Amino acid sequence: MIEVSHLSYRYGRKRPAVFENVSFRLEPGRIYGLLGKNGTGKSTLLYLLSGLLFPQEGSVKYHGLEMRERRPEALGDLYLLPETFRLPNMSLKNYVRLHAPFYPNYSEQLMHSSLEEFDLTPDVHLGQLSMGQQKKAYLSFALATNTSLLLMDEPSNGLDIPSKSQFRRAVARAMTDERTVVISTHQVGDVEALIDRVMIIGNTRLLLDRRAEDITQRLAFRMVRPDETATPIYSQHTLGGEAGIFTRQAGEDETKLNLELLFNATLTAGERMEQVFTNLEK
Amino acid sequence: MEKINIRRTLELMRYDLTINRKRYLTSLVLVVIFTAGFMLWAMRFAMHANMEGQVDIDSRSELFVIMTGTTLCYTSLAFLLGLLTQVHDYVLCDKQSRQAFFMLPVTNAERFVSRQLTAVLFLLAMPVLIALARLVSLAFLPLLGSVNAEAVNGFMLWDILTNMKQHFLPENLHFENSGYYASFLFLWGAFTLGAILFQKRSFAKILFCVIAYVLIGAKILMHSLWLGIVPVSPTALWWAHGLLWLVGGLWLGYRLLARTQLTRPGLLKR
Repeated sequence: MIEVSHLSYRYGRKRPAVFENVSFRLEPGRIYGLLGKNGTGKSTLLYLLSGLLFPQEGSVKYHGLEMRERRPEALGDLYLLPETFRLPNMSLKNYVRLHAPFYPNYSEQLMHSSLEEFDLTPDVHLGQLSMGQQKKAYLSFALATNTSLLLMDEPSNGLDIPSKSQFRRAVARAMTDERTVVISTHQVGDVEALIDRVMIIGNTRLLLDRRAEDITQRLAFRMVRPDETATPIYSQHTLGGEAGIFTRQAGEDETKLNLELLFNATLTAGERMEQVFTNLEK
Repeated sequence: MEKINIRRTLELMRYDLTINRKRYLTSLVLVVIFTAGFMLWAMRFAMHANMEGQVDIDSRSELFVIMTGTTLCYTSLAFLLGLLTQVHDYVLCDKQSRQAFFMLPVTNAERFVSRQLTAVLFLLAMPVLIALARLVSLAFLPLLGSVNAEAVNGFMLWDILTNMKQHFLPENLHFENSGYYASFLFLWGAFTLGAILFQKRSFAKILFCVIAYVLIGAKILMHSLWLGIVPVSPTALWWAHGLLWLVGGLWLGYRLLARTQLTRPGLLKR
């Protein structure tokens, strides 16, 4: 549905490149986890995908439409939830009344169910809500727009502990086979159970773009045993001991995806990780 | 040219008026206070001017001052309204607002038309506001002292404002040209100052102001040439002059908006 081809982008001629010749596709029915270190361009990528920024080279096409043209048909079918936002001082009902007409697939039912999930009522006044509650109201609206593409920049920032699981449930409930969700985050623990495709960016390129099930099928995330004979692809000290990523052996149980470990491994042992996937693909 | 969907345009206008309602209302109140203040000043201190006939108008040199003053007042009002409500730029004032505004699924043309409709709405409200201001100034006048014959003549300002068109007829252009252009220069000067003060990085705006200055200069030159050497009827010249401003203004406005609404890196930096 979104086709990114040979995308290159930099903020100004004299500034370093944020992306160089990046290509990928976003498929419907998936929740993508977009990970990367600070300043590697996660938000920039979301802006490029949503047509808020234009690539200097390459293209971003949404259902065949060039995003740089900012056609209402494309913009009406995607929603960007930015990391920082400022909601107007008005009731949520008014906010919905003003914004919903721009989104043809807006679902009042989804709005109510998301608000309910977040313990909010439709008659709240946005100006009287705390920052976290505002975020929940905004998240509810973003989900209710029912757009085919939903881009969320650090959506769990500012949410309290119970709200993080409410957020996961709300996103899972709003997912359909036609919908694509991209979640850019540092809070990997908040989205680990939610995402089904991992994208890691760094050094101006896409370092990893794999389905979560492919990763867990091919890699094992576990503690390094004292009598370990296999050499981990990557390991790091944790409070519980040495955690490592291994190539999963035949008959070995599937392990839970550890995004933090995967992220660190991709950044520090990127070539070895790439090699594992390339070898397995052959 | 991009397509314009009427429904989306009206939705956008509703969005704009609702989001900015407090700013618009504050500006309208300020317009009333500003105009009332000017009228009070005019009624209290305006020179004796009998404006019953064209001969009287032509014979009175002080009328030039009044004309310049009223034109200045009128354009200042428009500027004040534009600046305070930031008709074109409020939604672009910070990164969050820009993101929210640019993510709305509408075309640049629809954004432009919606803003122009809002401007027309305010333009229509202007005579009502001026009438209101007149009432306010009437109510305040006794507080300033006795109403004398000279002060009464100040009320003629209202006639000037409402019958401004006749003073812009080509045959009168030589008379009020200076005030007319002075007021526009003032308007654009203030606009440039506003652009520098409030949108330090908005080079597009400053460029727009420079272009406007050049256009005004060209228009002054054109008028001087046309009035002297081109044998056209005054009415035709008046319409040509109006049409030029309308088309030129709309075109420039559209180009400016189309330019600034193409979201460029700079728009998301702050």
